[in-house]
Amino acid sequence: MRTRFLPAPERRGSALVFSVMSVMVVSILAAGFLQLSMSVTRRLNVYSDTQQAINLAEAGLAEAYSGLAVARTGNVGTMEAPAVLGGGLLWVEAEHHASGLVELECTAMYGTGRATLGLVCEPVGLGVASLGFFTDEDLRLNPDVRLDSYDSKVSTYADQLNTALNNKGSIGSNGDVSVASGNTIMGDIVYGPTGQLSVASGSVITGGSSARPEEEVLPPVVVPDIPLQKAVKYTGGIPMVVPPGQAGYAGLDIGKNSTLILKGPLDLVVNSLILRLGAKLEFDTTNGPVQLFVNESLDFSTSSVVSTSTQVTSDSLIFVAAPEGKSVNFGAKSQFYGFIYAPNADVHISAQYELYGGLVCKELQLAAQGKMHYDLSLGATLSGQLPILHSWRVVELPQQVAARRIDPFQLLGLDPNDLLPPAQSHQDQVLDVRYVDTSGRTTSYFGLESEFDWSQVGSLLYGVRDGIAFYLPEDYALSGDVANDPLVDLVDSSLSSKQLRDALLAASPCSTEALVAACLRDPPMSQSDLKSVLDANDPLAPQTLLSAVTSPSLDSSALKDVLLDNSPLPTEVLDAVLLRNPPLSPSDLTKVLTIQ
Amino acid sequence: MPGLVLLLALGPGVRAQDAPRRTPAQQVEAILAEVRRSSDVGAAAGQLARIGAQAVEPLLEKLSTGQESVPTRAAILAALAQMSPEQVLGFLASLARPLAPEPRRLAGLDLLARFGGSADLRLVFELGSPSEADAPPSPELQRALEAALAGILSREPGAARALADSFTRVPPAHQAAIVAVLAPRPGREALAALADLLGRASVETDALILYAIGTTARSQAPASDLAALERVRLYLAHPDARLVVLASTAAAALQDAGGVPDLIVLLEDGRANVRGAVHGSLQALTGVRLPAEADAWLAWLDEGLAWWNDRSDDCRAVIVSGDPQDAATAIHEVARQRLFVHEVAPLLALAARRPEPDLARSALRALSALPEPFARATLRALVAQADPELAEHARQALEGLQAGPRENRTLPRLPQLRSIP
Repeated sequence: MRTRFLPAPERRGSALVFSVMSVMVVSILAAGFLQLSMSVTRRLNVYSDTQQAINLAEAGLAEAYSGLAVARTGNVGTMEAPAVLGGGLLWVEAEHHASGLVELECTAMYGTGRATLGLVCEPVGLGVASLGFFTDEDLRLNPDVRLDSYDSKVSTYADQLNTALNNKGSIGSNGDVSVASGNTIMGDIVYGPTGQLSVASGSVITGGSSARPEEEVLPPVVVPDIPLQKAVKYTGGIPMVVPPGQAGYAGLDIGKNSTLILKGPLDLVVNSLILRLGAKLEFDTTNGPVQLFVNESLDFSTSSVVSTSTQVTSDSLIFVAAPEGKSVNFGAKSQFYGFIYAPNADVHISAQYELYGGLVCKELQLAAQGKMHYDLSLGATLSGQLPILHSWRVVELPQQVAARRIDPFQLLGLDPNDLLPPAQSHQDQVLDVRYVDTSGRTTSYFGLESEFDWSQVGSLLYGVRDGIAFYLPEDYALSGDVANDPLVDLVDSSLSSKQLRDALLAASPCSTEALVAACLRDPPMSQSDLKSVLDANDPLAPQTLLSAVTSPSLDSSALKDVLLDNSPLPTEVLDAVLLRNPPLSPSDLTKVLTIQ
Repeated sequence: MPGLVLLLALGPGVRAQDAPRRTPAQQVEAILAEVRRSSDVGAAAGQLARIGAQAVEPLLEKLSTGQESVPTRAAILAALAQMSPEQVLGFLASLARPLAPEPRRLAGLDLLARFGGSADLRLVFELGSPSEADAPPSPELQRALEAALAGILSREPGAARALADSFTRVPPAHQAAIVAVLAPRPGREALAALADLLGRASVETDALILYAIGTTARSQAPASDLAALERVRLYLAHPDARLVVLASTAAAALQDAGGVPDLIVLLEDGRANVRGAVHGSLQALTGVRLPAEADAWLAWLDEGLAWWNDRSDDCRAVIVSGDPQDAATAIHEVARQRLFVHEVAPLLALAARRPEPDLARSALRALSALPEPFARATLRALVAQADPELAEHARQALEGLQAGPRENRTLPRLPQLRSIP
């Protein structure tokens, strides 16, 4: 018989209590572990989201940074319309400092992760000359004005007339642009963001037109700190020479028929510069550039003459730091190869002041029939050059972003399907492209980039954003219209005169280009060698004869023989013979003239 | 009717001659009216010339309008050329007064530019005198004056002496014209002629002459006219900073390597422009890139002078007749010298003529590394010499020089845009 031991009545139910307590302990422990686990998971998620946000921010910075290399603004998306990437969103804000540095800040949000990264970089310098012909105020052109372009690094303006390079002018304003009748604008017009373009009948605009996305801010002229000597009124018969270095005058008043020579490299500061009737101003930039800074007033009278010794447009620079409301007058007769910058001045340019280069000013009064030719070599060409990276840092999150750690799309009230990826979220710009489309047709587009469909581009031939070229093929300047006769290369080689003569005689009949190059060769061919070559190529084209007339190789007698062999001479050649300096000897001239 | 046909067939000249009551001006007008093409020029010129001295005035009047066509202009000039000089000059002399109309004087100067001689220099200056006493001649008159002087000089190079002699007697504008026509003449002549004019007129004239020397000498071989170089060097000590700067620039353009010590002294000058110009000239002349501090250049000068005093003769002897190993060392030593580069280049040219190909090549390499004008002049001389192998090596070195980097220039910096627009 088994004996059952029953607990005492006061101990009955204690197992249950113990069990319940155990269960409770286990439950508490389980809850604790669960809590711990959830906390760890949550922390891991936050960490992961933050990492993801940092990655997104880095990607955004990279997008903006590389965008700067192709003439983008650096702004990618906005807080209101961010770019979407990998389940998160981002936007980049670019701040351009006067020093030329650009600060980029990218804020990215992914889940609960937030990150703001910043970097400071220095884009390739873009001078104000890249604006072409630009006015801060409304630009109203007078009738029969011609504005076009050329590239001084390729050849002369005359050689590029009516070629593709003649058709890339850039005319801009922060305000309205009015094109009058008879105007010929070989290129594009970009008017102010709130401006308008008005075009009179009878005018020609070969390029496109568009509003610029934002106003252009013209930096002030920084005048070098050069002590000013007392004002000079010069009326001498000997030209006044300002030697290389630095010089400053309270005023320069060049009297009637007197001459002022500025010998570069020179920085010249003047409060006022006046050219009187018949006075002449020469920019001698053979040894270096001349930078002329005008503090107050500039007045070139209508019968004065301004000249530059070279055709290098970046070597003759006129900076007008005149205060607001001042007008400067370029009335002189000139073929001025240079750049004029007058951000606060009202600039008057006469029709006889033909400008090759560029002009940026507050207001422009270009006389009727005036001509200005933008030198493309002054313009900026980025060609994918990445900016110089100066620093990189983590930035404190913006208050409105840091506050609530919830899904960013929910937080900002955005549908991810409505947002664009970063590459398509760059700030809108005026795009000028020439391309071969997917069907093989060469075509071009000028207008806002947001309205351009990049998917139709097969291969890009030429690309410009807001007037800054971001894509130019290496042979861009040389393609098309530039002659490439191998005989010309031969003439330009270091062959001796005799060797060159033999080579040209062997290749005769030579092209006109080669004969012209032979006539004008430096060092010159010997007289007998050149004459043999010319004789072997009779009859000579007018262009060759014109070169022979100015050739340093031929003396009066030899030239006479060439001219007699090719008489009767075309009128332009006869004219060149009469204008030759030094003239033909009296007897040679008489023979040439009487045989006509 | 047959008479009219006959008259037409006889041509314009005959018709003009057959009108005896016509004045010379009318005859000139009639003949020139028939000149339409280049092929009319010869016949018309003959007819005009036959009119004689009385045709000079209307012809010149016609020329001075500047409206005539090219064949007409050619006929007038050809006619005047066929007349006797007395007929033409006699009339031009009547224009040599300030009140004569400027277009006629321009035409007269144009004529003298084509047909004048040194005997006509006085007439040229008289025709080129300004119409107003208190102002220089107009740009057109000044240009015509320069063209006339240049024309005479091209036909009679000896007229340069007469021009130089008249330099102090003519007004400043004519002095400027003389400088302008003397400057573009071939290297040595121009330098000698211009340097000879220094110090003979005003400071402003000297500035113009130094400027002209600096401009024209730039593209030429190093100058060797010691007297002329010395005259330019004198201006390095001038109290006027403008003249010192221009003289320094001219010295660099003339490749006056002998003037380097004088330039180094000027690095201690108190005027910033002088120091800047002198530093640039020193770098161009020596190819040495030292800071613009006198101490550094003086130390370099002492070292160079010591080498020239103590070692140059020995090196020359070894290069000419030493054994190959010693010659190689000497070439290396010479190649490092940048003081008096004009003396270094001939030493290396001697070394290039050594029979050992290695040494010759080494000398040519050293030559190529000299400041360009000296290297170029010496290499050109070697290209022209008899040994074909050496000439070929020199030619290659010369080509390398031509393909080399261009001279560094100060580049202007335009204001930068605040943003990419």
